[in-house]
Amino acid sequence: MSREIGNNPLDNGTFADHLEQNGVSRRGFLKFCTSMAAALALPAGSAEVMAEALAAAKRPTVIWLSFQECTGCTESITRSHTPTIENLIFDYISLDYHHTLQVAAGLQAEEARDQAMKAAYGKYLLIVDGAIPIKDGGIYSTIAGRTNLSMLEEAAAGAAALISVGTCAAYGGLPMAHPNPTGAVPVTDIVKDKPVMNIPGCPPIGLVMTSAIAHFLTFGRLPEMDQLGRPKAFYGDSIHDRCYRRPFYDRGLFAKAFDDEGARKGWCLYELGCKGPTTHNACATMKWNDGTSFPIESGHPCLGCSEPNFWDAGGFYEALSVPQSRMGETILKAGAVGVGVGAVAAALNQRNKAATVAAQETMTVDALKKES
Amino acid sequence: MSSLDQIEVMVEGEENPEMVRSVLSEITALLECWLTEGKPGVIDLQGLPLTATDYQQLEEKLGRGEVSITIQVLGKSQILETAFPGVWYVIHRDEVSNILTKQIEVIDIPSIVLSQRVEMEQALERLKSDSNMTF
Amino acid sequence: MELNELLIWARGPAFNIALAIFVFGMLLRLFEILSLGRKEDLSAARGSGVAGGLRTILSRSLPRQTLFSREPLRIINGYLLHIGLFVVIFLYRPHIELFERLFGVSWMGLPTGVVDAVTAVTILSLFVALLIRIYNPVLRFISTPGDYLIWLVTLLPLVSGYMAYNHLLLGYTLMLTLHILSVELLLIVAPFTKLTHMFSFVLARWYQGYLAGRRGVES
Ligand code: SF4
Repeated sequence: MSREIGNNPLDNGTFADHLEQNGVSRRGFLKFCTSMAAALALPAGSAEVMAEALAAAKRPTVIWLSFQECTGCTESITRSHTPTIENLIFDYISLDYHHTLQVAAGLQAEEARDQAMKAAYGKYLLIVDGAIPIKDGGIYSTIAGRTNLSMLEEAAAGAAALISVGTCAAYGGLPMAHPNPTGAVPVTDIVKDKPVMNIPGCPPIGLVMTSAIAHFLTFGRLPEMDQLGRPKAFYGDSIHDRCYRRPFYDRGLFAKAFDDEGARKGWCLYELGCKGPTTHNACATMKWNDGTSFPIESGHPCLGCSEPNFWDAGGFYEALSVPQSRMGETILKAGAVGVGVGAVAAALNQRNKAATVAAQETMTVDALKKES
Repeated sequence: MSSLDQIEVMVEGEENPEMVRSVLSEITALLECWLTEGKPGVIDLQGLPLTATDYQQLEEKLGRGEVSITIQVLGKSQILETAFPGVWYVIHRDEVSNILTKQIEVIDIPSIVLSQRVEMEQALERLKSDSNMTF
Repeated sequence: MELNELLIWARGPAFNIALAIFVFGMLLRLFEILSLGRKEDLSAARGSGVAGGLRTILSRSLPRQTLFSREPLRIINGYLLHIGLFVVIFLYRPHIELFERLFGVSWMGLPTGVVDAVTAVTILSLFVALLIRIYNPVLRFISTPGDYLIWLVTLLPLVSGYMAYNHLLLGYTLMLTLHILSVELLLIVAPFTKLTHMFSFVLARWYQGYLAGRRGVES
């Protein structure tokens, strides 16, 4: 299916019209809604409700801004594992502005964004991927001569809600990693007065993104979120909670190298640095590459890519329980100081002892007699 | 079929009867609920951390019933009755045969099978205009 | 501060500081004890001091018949507590991972479920120890605030570790962070309280055994 973004002829139609035009039957649509409802972990019967509401939904204006990012998120979503069906919603929301995907470029493109924003002021959905550099007035990333910062501020002012796609937009990600030369910050550091949903991951799972949009279209609001602004349906459980290697963890069977017997037998990857216990994401069940597997299933420990600061959270291959400090050095230094101070203290103690001994009067029989 | 499917995969036979047992007891509860309250139930099998071995065991336990339906819409969908009437597998695939959802539905007939009212109305119109035509 | 930042801090700088204080403090204390020394014993040896010393280091780990019959609960509980602590600290795989990083040696761990159960028992025995301390008049009399402090700093890592593993009360990330922080508190407090006995017990027993051995008496 071709994807023409920026000039959807169906601007006034409902989603149902759009589907019909694309030759999708109601049954096909229900099938689509079933996978969305399943992804969102909605209760039985929700697919039908969703189908009804979505069919009547009017096309929303969506503006997508890309800042300090690698385009991996866009790749992940446009290559998502359900090409035909997922594209339906992606085509339908028909992005009015997306640097990477749109045909237009230069002035035209910027104009399209202005127009879309004006036409749907206060109602459009703003999607952001990438972090925003704010150091030195934000000059480290500009588009059409404007800083990311000013572009985001302007676009956010007229948005109904924002979605931060990917860990960079959600939590700063790689651009914000130490030493953060450009002063990169996540969207929520700049936009404080609008609902913002985070879809973190490096990259996030495509279906998570489309399901969240489907939820927005169906219910007119963002789905329920956790403290880190992530939709609970997808980020409610830790990888560890849903990991099929968990029984090995519980039995204390760990792979200790990538090619040892434990690794071949599929034992738990905790000791190889798995961050599954502190990472919340849906990939343990939704998986990657057409549902083929997820990192742990391919024998690689979880990196924790959907959590804040994951680049700075210590070595990817170091167990969670291992402190991230130069312990040997600490011990040597502290030990040396301890011995040194101990020697001084010992000398003092010796002096005290000698003094005490010297101060002791020698008891004589006479003295005892006198006392009694 | 992608070439990935051709790679032979050996499944580590770590049996975990707990998983299968808990799915079965949920099915029991859902069927009871359908019979007493008429509320349909769904279990999303992909949302559970089941291994391939677990799936196999579950399939063995549930068996196959009398009805099997194939729907061709945006890829193939299979609706299979299990040996327990009212308990269905509903498996949706996309156009390149990848599984979209794999669910167990507890209901008299999964709603995806039913014809949709809007489309039946359209069909009626089509038939009416057709019947004006001469053969 | 974000949860993850706190965890990063706990695993990084905070651990470094705690470890430094621990090593510094412990060496200071041990050095002090050692350097005090003993007066030269001029009497003729009636037995081997070294043998007596070594024997006592081990034999004091065994219960005394006389003491045992007087306060069996306290002694059994003491064993439970110390063996439990040993198992929990040294036989849990994620902990061994830490020691391997520190010392380069690794050893077998126990199944996580077993360690989990032992943790529960150890926590219980800590409470029993507290009750004994409070209800035994002599013990209560000689207890200092420091004794209650070390009871608390020993309890915290156990409870937080148990709750983290079993996903109780708070999210795993936060619990894990609290667990690490509580261990760091323990490390900092240890050298300056009676917790120094984790090392100094060897010295104390050695001295006792050595003296007795030289005199040719049982200890
Ligand atoms: S592989 Fe990682 S997520 Fe899976 S059980 Fe082990 S530690 Fe947990």
